[in-house]
Amino acid sequence: VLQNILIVDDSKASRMMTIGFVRALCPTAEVTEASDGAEALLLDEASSLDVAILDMNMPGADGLQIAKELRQRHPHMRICLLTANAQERVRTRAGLMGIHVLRKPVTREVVREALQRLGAMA
Amino acid sequence: MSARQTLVPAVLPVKDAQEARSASATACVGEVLALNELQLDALGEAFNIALGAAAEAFSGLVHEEVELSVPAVELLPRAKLLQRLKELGCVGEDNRVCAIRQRFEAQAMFATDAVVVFPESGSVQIVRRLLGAGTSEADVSELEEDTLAEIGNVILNACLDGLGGLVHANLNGGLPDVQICPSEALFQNRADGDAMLIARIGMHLAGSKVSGYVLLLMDCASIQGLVREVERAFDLP
Repeated sequence: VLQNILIVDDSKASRMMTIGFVRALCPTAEVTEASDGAEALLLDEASSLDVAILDMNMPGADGLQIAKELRQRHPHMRICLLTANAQERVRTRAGLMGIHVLRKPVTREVVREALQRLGAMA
Repeated sequence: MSARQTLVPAVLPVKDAQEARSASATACVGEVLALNELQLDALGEAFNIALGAAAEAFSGLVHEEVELSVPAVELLPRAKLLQRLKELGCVGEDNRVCAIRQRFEAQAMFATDAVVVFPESGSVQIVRRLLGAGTSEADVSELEEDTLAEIGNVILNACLDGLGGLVHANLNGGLPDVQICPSEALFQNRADGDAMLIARIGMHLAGSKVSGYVLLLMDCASIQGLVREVERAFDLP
């Protein structure tokens, strides 16, 4: 089970909800949170991250750009997008990178699906 | 008012914030509009979710990806809003805009004027794209307003449907109203000094090089109502 989880979202309210559900569903998980790509990549240097849940539209790099950078560092890292911007073309681009797209709003069921797809649930 | 509260969103530059604060004093009594950072963040995220649905609907219409900007929530008087639209490129060089407005009401919770704004030249491009390359100029001209009303209808209903779903509200929408006019003619039902909560998100069609904005305009009572519902939706402390 992959338990070091990175959550990147520029909305603090959304991060709080996502992290709350992750902790409820995976009580032993180590959660690292970032509000944008630059912070996420800095934290990645300092932590040993297994999987990532990324928002798409954020200031600076978008979720897929961050995913690309993370994959260059960790080719096998499991990543999913949790975003309101789930347009067909975003899903297609994500799909080409092997990234599943989950649609906001953040709910317990959506976070459960993300964790299952990422192999982060027992 | 606590240190975390502010009369205007922290995203505003200081000069803008001072102007908006001054304007808000005439329109909103006391601390009606005192919103803390987390409330503003949650409002922005609520609009992000709503506009994500709208972008998907718009993308389906134009068969092209709609690039979205990061949402911004601002408290601005009408005059400042017009200036902001110019800064954002919503107003053409000829100072003309196309605005499609629709009124939505969620029982006693809140009401909003939802508006899609494009430069007039951009709106014509979008109409041509929808009607197809073979459409004559005469038909484009004749169908322009009708097509724009339908575009607005699709975008704004998807947007408000997303917002309504988030806060568990049924929204009743009016009919879309299309205005193609000089920018100064927009929002004339508001006094220059009236402060309005403006949530905006940019939509850019890379292929057509057209950018527009979706705005949700709300008065003080509606802001209070929506904030209560958003706090509940995000389970804010």
